Amino acid sequence: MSKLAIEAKNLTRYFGTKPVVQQVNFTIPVGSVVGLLGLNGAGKSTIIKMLMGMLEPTRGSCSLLGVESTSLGPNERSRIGYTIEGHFLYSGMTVRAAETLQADCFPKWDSLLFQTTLQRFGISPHERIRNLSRGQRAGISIALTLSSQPELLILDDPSLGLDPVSRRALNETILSFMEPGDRTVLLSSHMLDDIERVTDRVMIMTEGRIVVDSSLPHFVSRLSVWTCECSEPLDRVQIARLVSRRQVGRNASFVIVDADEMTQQELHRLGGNTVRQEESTFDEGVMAYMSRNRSAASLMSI
Amino acid sequence: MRYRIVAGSNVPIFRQIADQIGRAVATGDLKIGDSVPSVRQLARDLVINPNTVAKAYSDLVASGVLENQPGRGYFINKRRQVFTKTERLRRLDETIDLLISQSVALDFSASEVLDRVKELFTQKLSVAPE
Amino acid sequence: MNAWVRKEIKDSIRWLPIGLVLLVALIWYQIATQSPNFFAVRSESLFTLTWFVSAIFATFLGLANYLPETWGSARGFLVQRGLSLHRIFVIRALVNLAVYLIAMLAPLGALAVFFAVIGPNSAPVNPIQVVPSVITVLFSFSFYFGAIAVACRPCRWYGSRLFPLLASLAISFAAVSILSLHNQPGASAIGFLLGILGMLLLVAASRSIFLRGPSQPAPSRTPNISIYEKFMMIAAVLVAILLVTAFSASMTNSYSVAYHSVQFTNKGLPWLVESRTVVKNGYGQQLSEVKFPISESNEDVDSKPDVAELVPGLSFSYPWYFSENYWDMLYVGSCTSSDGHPLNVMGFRGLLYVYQQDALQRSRLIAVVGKETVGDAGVQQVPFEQIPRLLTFTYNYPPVLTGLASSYKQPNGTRIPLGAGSFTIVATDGIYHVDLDKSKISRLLDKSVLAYSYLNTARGASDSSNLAIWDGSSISVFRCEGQALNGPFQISERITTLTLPTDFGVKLKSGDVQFDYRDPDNWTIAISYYERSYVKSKVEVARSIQKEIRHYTTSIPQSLSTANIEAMKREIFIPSCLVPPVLLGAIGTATYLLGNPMHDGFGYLGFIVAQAIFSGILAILAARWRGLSARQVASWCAGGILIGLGTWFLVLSIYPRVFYKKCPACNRNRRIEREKCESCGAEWKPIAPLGIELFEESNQGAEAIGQTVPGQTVPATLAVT
Repeated sequence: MSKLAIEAKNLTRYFGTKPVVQQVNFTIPVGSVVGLLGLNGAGKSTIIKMLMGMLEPTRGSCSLLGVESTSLGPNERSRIGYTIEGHFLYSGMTVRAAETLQADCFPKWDSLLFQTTLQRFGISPHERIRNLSRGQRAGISIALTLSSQPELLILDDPSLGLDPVSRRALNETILSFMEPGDRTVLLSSHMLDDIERVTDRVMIMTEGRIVVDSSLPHFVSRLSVWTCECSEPLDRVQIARLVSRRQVGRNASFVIVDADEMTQQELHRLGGNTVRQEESTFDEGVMAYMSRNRSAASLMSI
Repeated sequence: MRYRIVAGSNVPIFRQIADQIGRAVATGDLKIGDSVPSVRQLARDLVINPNTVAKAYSDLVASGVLENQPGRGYFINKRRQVFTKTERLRRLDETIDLLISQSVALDFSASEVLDRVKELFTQKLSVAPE
Repeated sequence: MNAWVRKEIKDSIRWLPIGLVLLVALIWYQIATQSPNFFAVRSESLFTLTWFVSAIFATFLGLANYLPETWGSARGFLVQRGLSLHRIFVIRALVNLAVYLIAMLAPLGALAVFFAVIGPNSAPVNPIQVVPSVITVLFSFSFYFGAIAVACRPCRWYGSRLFPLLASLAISFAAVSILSLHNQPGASAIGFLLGILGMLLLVAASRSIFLRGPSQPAPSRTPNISIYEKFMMIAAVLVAILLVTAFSASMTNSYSVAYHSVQFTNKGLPWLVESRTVVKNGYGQQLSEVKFPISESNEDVDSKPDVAELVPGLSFSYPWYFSENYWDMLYVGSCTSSDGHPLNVMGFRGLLYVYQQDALQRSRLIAVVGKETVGDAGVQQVPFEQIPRLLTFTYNYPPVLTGLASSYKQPNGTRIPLGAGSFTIVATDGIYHVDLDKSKISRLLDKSVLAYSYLNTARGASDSSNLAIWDGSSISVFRCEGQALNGPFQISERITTLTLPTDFGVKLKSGDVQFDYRDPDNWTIAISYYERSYVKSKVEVARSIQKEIRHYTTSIPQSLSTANIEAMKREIFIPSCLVPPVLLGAIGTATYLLGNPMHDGFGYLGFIVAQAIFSGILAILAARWRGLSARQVASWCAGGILIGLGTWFLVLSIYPRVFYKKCPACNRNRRIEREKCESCGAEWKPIAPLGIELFEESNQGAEAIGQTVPGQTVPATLAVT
């Protein structure tokens, strides 16, 4: 069995009495690029903070590289790369000084890789960090993280506010980081394009739980989009394994996971001969899962 | 040849790659025995996950378009049928479905469409050497 | 690590100018504008100023370095590196300490150099004056660690967040010990020791708080609260109790004082008179006067005399211990020169430097007095026998004799009973007279002096007075000629040597002494001293009437007065009640009050018991509210009884909040961070699935052909391409 880079067992976290992460279980083997998706407040950052040992789980446990997150020591941490949400940096420093500082704290520092990554983002090492644009700061943050040659990379929404060029550079950087094959990436992002390009597995969170954990092709293959004409409101409609539904005028569409004969019959009852089935795209599937609570709040009775 | 993909389109990336290679074979841009870029190379060019390329290639291998020569890479295969007659028919019907719905939408009659199909068929195949 | 050290240096050195400029500016302000004669930079005012500045600067350094790291993502960036937090803490503490010391000690060092250059010839200053300030700088660094605890403790600003600074305040008080070293060496040593221990405790507490990190308000499975942090909070709460006590006492602003004096009947029998005064808003008001006969060898006194019969005799001042080595730094005394300007006498290296103060308050050195000669600065002179000197508050300087009060012992050797261009010095090896006008010093008496008393007995005769000298074994009385306050002065003859009851000599050292001398055959010495504790004291009287020496002894009685007690009770009781008592202290107070009819001791005791019970119950409630174990609840209950009302707050501030949810199995509240229900032992139910879960089983093993399984088949595929 391959080694696990990340493991979460029954991970639960409350803020006050409000559950933010609920009984989350997953494992990420070494060598995967996993995308973590979800709306703001779904619990992505909380999970990442718990993984990084910044936040204590209320119940359950999680570990990185086989070490309990709450007891990560300097040795383990120097094997982990972590870009913080918002790319926090010591902004008074020059890029070079920031590198010196980081190189001092990580034993496997690769200065050449740092230079290469900087070039990819078009940053001069002599600039003071506070004078740089957001994209460039993200670049430095990623360069600082990657050049420590971590075995495990955890990126908390790295592409937030990046321009298309920087995002491309980010994707390139992540992919070239993965090339040796024994490395692992957990990437939280809102950029579905990036996730589709870069990752080979997605996890989607809603309301503090993980509802999807699958490779991309598998994810798409189990979803289907159904359309029909239907004039009655969809509020009362009950269809098994319905992820989300939409109604614009008379046109209703449904995203359904693992549709079967029963699904077809239920839909026929609703839309008669106008029922059509299509494959779901990645975007549609993710959107369906993320928006499910907004359009189908009353459909919780499934 | 140049590969292009669009993330976020309604076709998954791995299928976009497979389609492009399949089309190139059909139009003769890729000939039998030609090599395609390595998984790693293509992933790097397109800035996508290598697994996605690998998935596209393995689909193409499964449908007989590509052949994997261990240690050397992927090559365009001699055309051979790996599917059964029914499967082939099902796949053809899928495309014809699309053709029919487009034809209706664009207001072509069945005979017009059939003529056009015949015309293009001869045109393409005469260019593409067997 | 070197780069990290450089980073820390860069980060904290930018605060250096703030502390430096603040301290320099305030010292400069004091020297340059406040007082041209350098009295403003006496050790204690310099000490106060440095204390203030260093406390602020240390707090600022701690907050500036640690508070920003609790904001946003900074903590994550700090933690996520191959450098342990412990090491970061140590590096930072050392770097900040260096910056702090440079900022605080550089001005003091410059001041010391300045003092060494100008003193003692141009101004009455000495580099040693900065020593208390240096010590306060060292102890004030506790504020730095207090500030770290403030920055990193996860609690609310309107809650107990600022409390660690109270612990720092208590620790920095240890520095005050050095200024009391001369009269309470034991207490000073304990003060220093406590200060150092407290400092270590605070370092350990702030370290553990920093390592734990600011956590979001949430239930914590393992509180991870170090014992150091607990002790720090206990110390802080005790300081808060003290402050509340002092505040409530000051709000009431009335207290009673008892003075004791010995008076005699016409028959010559001694009576102890206790007069009690209540001080209200600074004004004294006599409440009562109680007279009590002092028995002579258990001989009964038949009747109470009238008040009028008593001859006013000796009165005891508030008992005050002076240690053998009465140390002070510079100041010896002041007198007035013949032209009316003040003369200040300072001691340096066994020589007396006499400065005259002019109309502009500037001091000018006019003479340097040695043991044998009086000369100018720089002339080689024989010094007086030096007694080791340290530092002291000015209010601990011996009162300058006016020639009227009788006073006890001055082993220091320097004292100026007289002014006006000539003065007399009592040194350890005799008595000297200095005539500044003639630049002459003459030895009046060649005798070792352990203590002396300048007696005013010559009723009516203005030109002669008596001087009593105790050399350790006997008291000798000399007749002195000359004006008490000015003019020439000499000791003309030894009148007598008094014979004292055997153990009087020992008691003289520790007691408060009154000495009434009329003639060799008629004199009285009364000593009041503490017998055992601070509660009861004794009075002994040795009286010679016509050569017949009588010896009386008695304990100072608890007052017999009943007048005005009710009014007193109320006034004393209020501050006592407001005090959240630390039980032991409270019981001690109660025992004292119980024996004293001026106070309602029983009421106080009842109040303490009630309060202890109340505090215990509150502590139990708080501990249960915080979800502590039964053992912890019990120990905090004991803490509540011992420490008082503060415990309730202590429990709430130490332990994080706990949160409960209804247990689905037994429908009772259960802690959300526990795996099992405390009441029924049920585990949490798995959450109900939404029905749309999409999991790929192959994440744990291969499923379909052609399906890439992350982490397993992919690297293999990539290896061959």
